[in-house]
Amino acid sequence: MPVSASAIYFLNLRGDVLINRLYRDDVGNANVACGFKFVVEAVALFKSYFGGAFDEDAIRNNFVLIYELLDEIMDFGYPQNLSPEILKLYITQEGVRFAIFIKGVQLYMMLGVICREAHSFALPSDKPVPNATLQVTGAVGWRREGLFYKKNEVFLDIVESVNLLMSSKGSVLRCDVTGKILMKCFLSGMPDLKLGLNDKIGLEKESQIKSRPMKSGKTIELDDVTFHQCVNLTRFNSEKTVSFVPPDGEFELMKYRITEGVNLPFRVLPTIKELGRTRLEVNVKSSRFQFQSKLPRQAFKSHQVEQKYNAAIDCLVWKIRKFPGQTEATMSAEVELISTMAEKKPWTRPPIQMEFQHNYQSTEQAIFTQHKYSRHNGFPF
Amino acid sequence: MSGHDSKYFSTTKKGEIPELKEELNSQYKDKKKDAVKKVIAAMTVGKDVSSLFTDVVNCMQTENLELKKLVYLYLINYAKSQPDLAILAVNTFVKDSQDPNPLIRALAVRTMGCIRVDKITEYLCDPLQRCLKDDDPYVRKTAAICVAKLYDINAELVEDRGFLDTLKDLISDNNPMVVANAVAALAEIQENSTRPIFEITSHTLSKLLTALNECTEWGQVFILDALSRYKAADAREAENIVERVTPRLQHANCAVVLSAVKMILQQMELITSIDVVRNLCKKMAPPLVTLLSAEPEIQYVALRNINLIVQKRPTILAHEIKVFFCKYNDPIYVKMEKLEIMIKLASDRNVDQVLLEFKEYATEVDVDFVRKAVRAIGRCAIKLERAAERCISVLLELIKIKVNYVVQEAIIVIKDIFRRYPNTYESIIATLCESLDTLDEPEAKASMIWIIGEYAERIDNADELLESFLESFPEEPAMVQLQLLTATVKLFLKKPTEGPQQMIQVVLNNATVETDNPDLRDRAYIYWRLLSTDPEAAKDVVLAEKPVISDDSNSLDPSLLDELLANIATLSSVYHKPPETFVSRAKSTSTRQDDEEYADAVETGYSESPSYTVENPAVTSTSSSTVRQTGSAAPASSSAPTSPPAPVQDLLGDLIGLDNAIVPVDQPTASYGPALPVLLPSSTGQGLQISAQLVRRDGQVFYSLLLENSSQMVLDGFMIQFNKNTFGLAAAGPLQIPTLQPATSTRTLLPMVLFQNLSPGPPNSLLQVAVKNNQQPVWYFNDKIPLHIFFSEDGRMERTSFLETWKALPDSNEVAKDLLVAVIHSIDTTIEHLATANVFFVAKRKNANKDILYMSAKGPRGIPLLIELTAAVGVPGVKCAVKTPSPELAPLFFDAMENLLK
Repeated sequence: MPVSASAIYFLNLRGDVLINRLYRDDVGNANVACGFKFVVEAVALFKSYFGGAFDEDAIRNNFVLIYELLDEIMDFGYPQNLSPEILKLYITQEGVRFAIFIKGVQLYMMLGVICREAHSFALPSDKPVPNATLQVTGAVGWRREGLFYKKNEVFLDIVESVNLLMSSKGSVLRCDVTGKILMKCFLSGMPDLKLGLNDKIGLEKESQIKSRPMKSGKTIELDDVTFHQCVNLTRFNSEKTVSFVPPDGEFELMKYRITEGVNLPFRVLPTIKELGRTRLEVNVKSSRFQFQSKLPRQAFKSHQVEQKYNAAIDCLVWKIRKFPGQTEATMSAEVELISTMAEKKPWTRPPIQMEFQHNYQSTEQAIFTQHKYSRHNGFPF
Repeated sequence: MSGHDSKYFSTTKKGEIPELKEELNSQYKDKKKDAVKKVIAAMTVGKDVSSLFTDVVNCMQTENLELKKLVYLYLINYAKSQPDLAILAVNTFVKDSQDPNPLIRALAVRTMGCIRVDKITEYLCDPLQRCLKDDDPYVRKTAAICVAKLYDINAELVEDRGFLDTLKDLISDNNPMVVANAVAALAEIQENSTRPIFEITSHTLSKLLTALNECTEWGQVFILDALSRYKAADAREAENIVERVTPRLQHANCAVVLSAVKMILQQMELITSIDVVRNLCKKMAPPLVTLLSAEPEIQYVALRNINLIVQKRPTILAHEIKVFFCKYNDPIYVKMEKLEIMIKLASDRNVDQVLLEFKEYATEVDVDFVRKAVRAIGRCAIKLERAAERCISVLLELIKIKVNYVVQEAIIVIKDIFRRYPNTYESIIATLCESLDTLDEPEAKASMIWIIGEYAERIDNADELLESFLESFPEEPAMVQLQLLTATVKLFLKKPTEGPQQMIQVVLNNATVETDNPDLRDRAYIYWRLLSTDPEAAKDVVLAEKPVISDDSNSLDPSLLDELLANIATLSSVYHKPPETFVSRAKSTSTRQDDEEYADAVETGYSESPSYTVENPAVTSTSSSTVRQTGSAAPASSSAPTSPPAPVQDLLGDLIGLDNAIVPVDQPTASYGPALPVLLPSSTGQGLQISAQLVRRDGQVFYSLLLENSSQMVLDGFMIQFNKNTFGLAAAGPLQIPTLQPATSTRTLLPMVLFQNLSPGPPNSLLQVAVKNNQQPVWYFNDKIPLHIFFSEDGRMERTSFLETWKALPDSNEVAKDLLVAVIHSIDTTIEHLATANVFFVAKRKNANKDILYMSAKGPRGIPLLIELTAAVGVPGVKCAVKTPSPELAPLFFDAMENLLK
């Protein structure tokens, strides 16, 4: 049975129920994958309504709106349309907005952000659109009709997270990349977009790969790709082009994974020595970035100036503004730990986290070979 | 205007309700709306605002959509408690269902379906009929789900009004969301119905597969889940289906991916071409791996499912073991599951890498994780013979770092490795002995002692080592005591010198006289007698070669595995248990008999708190035995609880209308049914007589037991165990029998579960039972499993589907037998009698002087049994023919019928 939930509860950290909505009683052997995914999407929806925040205050301040949304996004335990774009057409109460609250999201090692452009996007008008219901249920359940922009623009961001494990001697033990392509669309009408990938995706038949002339080493193998629901999967399977009618505004077009052929732009060699109970010597030799190293809880003070200890996240933060190629930088720090009465806990050896920006070139070089944009019936371009 | 709703929560003054009442009746719209918001806020924090029902309902007729929604929300919550007043809302509902605005039409139908009040349900039918044929797809999709809601409240009504046919028509709707919801509704109705309602033909299949492309992500899940029940006719069709489902693997929604995987795995069973299968395996691997970059909860669900998938098709992820390596910031529940999968995927090719990982994990800080990692190394050693030596050297390195719990865990697994590879790695015993005095956990101690005993002849100072443990013998946990006892005996048999002889005296004395643990005492006496009668025989017994253990990492039974794989993405696949073991609500509640209070209580208890029900028969039997021996001294049982147990707390009681069931305590024994056959006569059982029989009550199988104590002893500590059997019957909980005084008896109903411990081979009805208590030896006896206890309440078949099923089965599936002792005295009483055993009448005809009856039943795992009985009324001898997809059950079936018709 695809039913995924019998009720939804909003709890705070203490476990008090803030709001609940009961849809039905027993659901038996429910589809849990569907249930968890629904919850994740629902939270994204609420955040989109409340302008980013989703905490106890936001919930209390918007309880009427939440009830209204809960009624719409799930019926008798079956998830319905959760697309914010469409719901905003007819559930028009505006959420109470707060300044965007950024949680310390911990990516594993490096985060490359490429050609990022800030751009705020307009909220749809507050007037309900008369044919809202047709759009909720339409084949393109994520885009409303009648959009018009004077300037038609598309932005593509590629965000990659590289997960790397090195031995103490500096050889790479494990390395993989998970990337996502974020798209921001401001296009009129019902555009049909096509995106061609310069790759040899592992899903192709091997014969096809062999028959294709080898390019000059610029191709890279994507282990797997997954697409936003707007992408026509059957067509991708047969023609290998990503074709889609995009939602308006920002969305995650696709995700991919790479394990082979990842070139690392940096090399980091940390040495950490525990000097007795309360001292820690940290030496890091590296190459171009901002970088954080997690320290034991008790750490409170570091001697050098070029790097800072950030107490809020328990980290030693080292910022490097520019890092030209073929160069090296070294940081050394000594950390004094508060001596505690209790026995010293073993250090968990957390990973070093790096964040960097890198313009115009992705580590994976999945450069787009084509970017077609065709329009449907007569909207001015 | 809107927003900052939190202010509505803050009215906690006295006289709140009258104040709200006044505001609700205000003539100003804004004030009214605010008041309704306050009411909803009060409802949210759990205050009872049901007294405002009339006033809130009066606000219902409004143009303001927001206000209307709030009132509807209020109605959903309180209509149940005010059924008479709820009728006030009906007019507005019906009016709203014809509103020009499709949003309001849909809202009205959706809300009416959520109000589970009979009176309202009647009025729901007409609007629902209209909405199912509405021009607007939004209304139709809402109405489709509403049919499922109505079916849940009143199934007959849905069938009478022909909603099912309308719903089936919606499968061909031109709007994909309507199609998806109709499929979801039909699939759910089918699940709760005994009749075939939603049959997937190849035509619907192809239509729905086409619809997949246009559906929302959730719609795709509904459709894929519904289609996964479809059985393709041949390999070609299966390949065709798979080809059309494979693109779904690229979907960003994990539920779509898992449902697609489920469907592909199902169809793969039929595909014969090795190339196609290999290709599919290759295609499924990357999407499964990608699931591991989702949110941790989703990762967990994915990992539990992957665990099943790699058991069935190890090749899919054979090359992907690296992705299961634990990350620093994985939550612990994800790490544990990853470890489990790493063990499953470990092979001679990757074992070096895996061992490096395990070794790394074994030095982390989370104790549970570290232990599991150490155990994983041991399991690899047992699984991969060629890697065993490397595993052992890793374990030895870990022992050298001298972290206490690592050492202990390592010793436990090394013991298993010794059992797997006897006489191979004993050279490391010396290293193990070094850490002897750090052991403080029972399991590690017991393992070490076992090793010392087993290899006593190779350890020079074995006697000294054991002696050091013996000092604290009385304080040790039972597990350690048992091992000490055995190890000392082994030592003595291997080195019959003076030292060990003294030790054995001490141990045997301790274990027979000083202890009150029966297991220990039994074992000690056996050794004692063996040693005193025939030391050579003792040697043969105690030092006999032990069977080599094997790898337990592929532990699921193949049939269970298949069942779980058919349930990918659901709770069942996460629990690794078949759905019927945790989905408690019986499918057909309509057959429930009102006068059977006991059975009612069992069912309610099951759906709300299983542990409570298990106690229930015990409480009953305690009180009955107390009653019977009034006057006699009964210290144990008189202290047993005789007051009625606290009522079951029913959290959803208000909503789903279950009354809190109080279990009747002094249930007359008559309710347990007729006399039970004696299986263990008191002459064999040293005064204990056991009569028992398997019975079916309210859709659940029980073992009905009567224990009579005619011995001079007080018997207690009863336990029961069932051997492997054809249907995997096993006790669902411990046997709850209190102390049994001399000359008393007790009855109990032990709930049973199916498919736990399946024995291989052709089906047979043998059930081997062992019962033990603290005073007597273990009693073994045999019982028969009558097949009809599995016949489920939903086995009734319509005449047409009976004919179809009959035709669909090949003639080779028909088996017939003459039941000589059976007799039909009257057609009607026989039909009635068989119906109580869930054998249902379908049709009859006359042929010469004989009557032919056609009947249906549904056996274990839902196997249909189509039955033809031919007999002359009043004349002994009935010809019984049965046609079923599982003809191997026929002999058992004939036995059952003979019993029923006697």
